[in-house]
Amino acid sequence: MIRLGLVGCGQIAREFHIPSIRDSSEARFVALCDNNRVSLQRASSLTSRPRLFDSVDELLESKLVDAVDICTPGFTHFDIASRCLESGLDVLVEKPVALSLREAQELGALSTKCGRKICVVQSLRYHRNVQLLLRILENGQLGRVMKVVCTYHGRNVHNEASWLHDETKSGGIIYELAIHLIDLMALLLGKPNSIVGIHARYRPEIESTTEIESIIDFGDGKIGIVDLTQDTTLHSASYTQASIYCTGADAFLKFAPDYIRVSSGQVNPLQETSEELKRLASFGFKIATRRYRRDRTEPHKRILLGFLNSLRTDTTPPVDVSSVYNTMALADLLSSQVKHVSNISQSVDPLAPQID
Amino acid sequence: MDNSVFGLKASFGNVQQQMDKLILQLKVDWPVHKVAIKVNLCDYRMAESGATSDPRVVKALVLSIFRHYNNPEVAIVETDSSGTRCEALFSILGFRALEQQLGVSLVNLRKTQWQDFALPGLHFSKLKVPTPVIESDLVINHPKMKTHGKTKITIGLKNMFGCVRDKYKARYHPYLDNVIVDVNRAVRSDNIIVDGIIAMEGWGPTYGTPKKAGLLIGGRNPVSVDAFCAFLMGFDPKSVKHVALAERIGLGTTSYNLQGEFDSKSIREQRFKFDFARYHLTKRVEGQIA
Repeated sequence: MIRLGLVGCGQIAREFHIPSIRDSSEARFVALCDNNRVSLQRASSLTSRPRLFDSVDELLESKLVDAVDICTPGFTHFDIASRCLESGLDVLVEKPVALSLREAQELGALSTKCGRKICVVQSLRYHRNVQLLLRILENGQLGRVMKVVCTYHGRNVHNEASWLHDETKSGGIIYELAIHLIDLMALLLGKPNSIVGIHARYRPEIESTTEIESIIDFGDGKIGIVDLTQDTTLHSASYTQASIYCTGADAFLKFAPDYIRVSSGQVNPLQETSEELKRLASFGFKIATRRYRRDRTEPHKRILLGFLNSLRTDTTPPVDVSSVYNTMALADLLSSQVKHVSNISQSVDPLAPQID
Repeated sequence: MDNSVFGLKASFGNVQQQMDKLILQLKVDWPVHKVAIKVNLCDYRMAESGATSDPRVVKALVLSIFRHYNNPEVAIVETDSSGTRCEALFSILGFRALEQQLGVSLVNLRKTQWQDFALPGLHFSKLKVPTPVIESDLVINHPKMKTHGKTKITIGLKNMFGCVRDKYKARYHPYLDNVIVDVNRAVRSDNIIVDGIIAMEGWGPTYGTPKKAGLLIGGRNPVSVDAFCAFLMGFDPKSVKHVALAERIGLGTTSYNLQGEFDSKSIREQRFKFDFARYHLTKRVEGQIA
């Protein structure tokens, strides 16, 4: 039995991490740690008689656990993960692993030095349709990936935890909100070369970069296009999707409800309609059989159980920290360019439009 | 109780002229030195969405007030909500320009004084009410005309829910209709000026579809105004729970005395059929999604 400690008992921990190993016979959360008593108590009610801690130091000193699962805000990951590795513990850490490539690499080096594992919960990689995409890519059904277009249109995050809308802490739209899509792009296209063009909008009123559009060169003719925004004054619908353009066939991914379509040639109305019908039928089936909500935790569950398995068998964890270096390189590249343009407040005059 | 309701056709081209007519019709006969305008800034959405008060319409309203009340002090008031900060809303949605151009003050009620108000309410026995609103000589309730996922419509009565002090108002959602009625007991609306130039239908109050209704509706009683707006939107006013409750406890009447540009015949032509969120059906699905 692997004794796990959970650091950070917020919503992600309670809704995704605790349920993911509830049925596992391999591991149990024996200790919970959070400086927020309410979160701690809530998480405690979901687990079986855990020891409660309000500081990481106390948890580490207790020697109660074999590995830690870190679900704290992103800006704390590097510090907590480093201390856990140095204390001889294996580490599972929510995304983003850190707020820069340099920190991610330092964690990788530290894990090697300490002989411990570090696994990152980039859960989109283990989403059913992303797994299917990776499989058909591997089988050669799509050919070579040449262009990836990722769209993240989120809601304004000012109704969330205060650290989340402080982009100096959360890393904002790049490192926190759209990191799954950035990870998918890096997974499919590799290490980025340079930014071809970028537009970003900074809102001084809410001290946030609310919009980034960029074209990224990945070398060998491969490009990525990101359209990331959390400004609901300038867009209206909130959704996430990715289009993967390849030499053999293209793939289109939508989420919640999930959808994957592989297509080439002129858009065929019959195929288009039948894929949408499949999406509708799948959604209806999941709702009717009460699987929709359970399926949301599946990617987390796969990573958590994979991590536990890697500890048991001493193999590489499902998302080893070294596998997110390209992701962090892409995030850093975007972030560094955004800083160049974000001083320009490109405000939109709400009085300007005249609809009559 | 004055149940007169004034309905006017309006567009951005004639909004000032129509607003002047409305303010003149609704003019009160007591001295007015301080005016509070409770706008509806529910989220970070531009006025074109139909979700939030339009600064162009508010500007016309303020200019009319200056004209008809001898330049009183005007405060545009709103409260922080679960998802918003008032100061940011005022800036992003264009209200800072009104502050500069017209000299009005923009007030985040959460950061002002509040006082206790005791009442035999449907939900509260004691309620905090915003002092700057209570102490104003004239309180203008300036809602948008929208459908609402939980309360079917949101007009004047629901707009005053924004005078609840808590930032996280979602905690009252299970008792929303009762809380709306209590707030309206505690905080009066002397005039209700509904902006229905660009209204909202469907998944309101934030992410519905803009509906170009081209209407300005005014009145002195929020129950009558809400009932008339519900009728215009294609709903039975008595099927809107908070409107029916407000009538039951004597806040007003759902029957109205229609004045202005419409008579009982022509108003039928103005009647819309707003699409509305079938909240209870979708809630069952959402139970699994959320």
